[in-house]
Amino acid sequence: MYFDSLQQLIWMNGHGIYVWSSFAISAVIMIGLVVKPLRQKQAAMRNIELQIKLQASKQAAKQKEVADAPHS
Amino acid sequence: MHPIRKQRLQIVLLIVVASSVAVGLMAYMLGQNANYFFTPSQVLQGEAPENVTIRAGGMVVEGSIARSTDSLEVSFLVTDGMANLRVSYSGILPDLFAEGEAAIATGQLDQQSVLQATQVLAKHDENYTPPEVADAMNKAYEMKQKEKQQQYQEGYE
Amino acid sequence: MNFNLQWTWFHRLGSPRWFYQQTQRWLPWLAVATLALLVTGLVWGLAIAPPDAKQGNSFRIIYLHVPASVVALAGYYIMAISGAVGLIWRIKLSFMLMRSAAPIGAALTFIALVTGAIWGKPTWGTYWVWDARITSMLILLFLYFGVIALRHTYSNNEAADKAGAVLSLVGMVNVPIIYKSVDWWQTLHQPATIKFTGAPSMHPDMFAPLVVMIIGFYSFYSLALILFARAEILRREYRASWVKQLVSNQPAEK
Repeated sequence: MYFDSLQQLIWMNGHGIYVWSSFAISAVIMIGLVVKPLRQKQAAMRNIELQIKLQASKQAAKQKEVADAPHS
Repeated sequence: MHPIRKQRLQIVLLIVVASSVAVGLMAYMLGQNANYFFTPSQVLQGEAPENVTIRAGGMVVEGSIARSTDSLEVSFLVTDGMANLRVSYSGILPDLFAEGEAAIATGQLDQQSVLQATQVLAKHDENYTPPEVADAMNKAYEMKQKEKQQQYQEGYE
Repeated sequence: MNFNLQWTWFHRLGSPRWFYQQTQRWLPWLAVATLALLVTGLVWGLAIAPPDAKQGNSFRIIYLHVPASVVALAGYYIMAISGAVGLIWRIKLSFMLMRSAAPIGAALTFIALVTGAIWGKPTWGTYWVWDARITSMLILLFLYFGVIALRHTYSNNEAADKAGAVLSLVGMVNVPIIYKSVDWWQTLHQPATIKFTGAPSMHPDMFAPLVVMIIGFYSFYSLALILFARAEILRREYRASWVKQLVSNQPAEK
C-alpha cells in the first residue's frame, strides 16, 4: 500500500474529499444501473403473471357460462 | 392531423430542437475559446481588445510571482516564449499554479496592458509520474546541466 | 454456398428468445468477472499506485474518470450501430439493445462529467469551464437523454425505435469531435494520456491499474446492457408463448 495508515488513505493529504466523493457518486450510479433493470424485469414478470391469471379466469368463466347455459 | 403525421412532426421538431441546442452550445464554446483566447505576444501587439473579457495563457515566468503581504493580491508574468504579459489577480490560486507551469487567466486588459484577471486556472499536461520518478528525473537533468557547464568551463581553460 | 445458410446465424442472433436463454448462462460469470476487475482496479489505483508528482492524490480520480469516459463514448457507437442494424434489417433485438444502451451511456457520461468537475477543482481551480472537450461531452449527455426521452413520446414502439435510431445516428457526429476536441481547440483539458499509437504518457505503475479499470468498465457495460435488454425483452415480448411459459414455470416468490 502506498499509504502508511487507513487515516492517510482516507485523508489523502487533503485530496480525500475529492477522490472519495467521486468514488461514492460513481458507486451509487453504477449500483443503480444493476438494480434498475432487475426491478424492471421483476415488474414485467409480475405483469405477465397477472395477464396469464386474468386470461385463465376469463376462460373459466366462459366455460362455466357454456356449462350453465342449458340448465337455465 | 393524422396521428402518424403528427408523430412524424414530433420527431422532426425534436431533432431540430436537439440539434439547434447542440449547435448553439458549440457556437458558445467556440466563441469562448477561439475568438477570445490570446497569447501574450498577441496581447502585446495590440490584437486583444481593451475592456472586453478575454482569456490569455502561457507559462508562468520563474521568479515573477509577487504576492501582497496583507491581501490575496498577486501579480505574475505569463509567457509564450516571445513576450511576457503581466497578470494581476485577487483570489485563491489553484493548487497546481506554480512558476514554470501553464496557467490561463480570464479578465480584462487595462491601459497599461496588464490583464486584470477575475479567474486564474492552472493547466496541466497529460503526463503522470510518481514523485520519486519525477525527483530522479529532475536530479538526472540537473546532473546533466552541471556536466555540460563543467565541460563548457573546461573548454575555456 | 447458400446465401440463406450464411445468414441464419445473423437472424438467430437477432432472436430475443435465443438471446434471453444464452445470457442466462453468461450472467453469473460476467457478474463475478466485473466485480473482481473493479475491486482489483480500485484497490490498486486508490491505495497501491503512487500519487502524481504534481497533482498529488487528486490524480487518483483518473481511475474512474477515464474508464467512464472511454466506455461512454464506445457505448454511443454500440447504441448507434444497434439502431442502424435495426433500421436496415428490422431486427427487434437490435432496437431493444439500442434502447438498453441509452440509460447506461447517459449514466456513464454523467459519471465522467461529475468526476471531471470534482477533479477540476483541486487541479485547475474550477469545477466547470466551457471548453471544447467538456461542452462536447455535455452534448453527448443530451444526445443520450434525447434517445431516452423519445421512448416516452411514442405509444407506438416501432415509431419510437425508428426515431431513436435516427437520433443516435445523427448524434454520432459528436463522438469524433469529442475525441479530437483537445487537439482542435484551445482547451483547458489536457490531451489524451492513452494514445492510439505510441506509449501512454503515464508511468507503468500508474497505467496498469488504469488498464484493469477500463477492462472492468467494459465488463460492467456488457453486464448492465444484458440486464437492461433482458428486462426489455420481457416487457415487449409478453405475448410470446415462450415468455408466458417462462413466467408460469417460475417458482412463486414470497
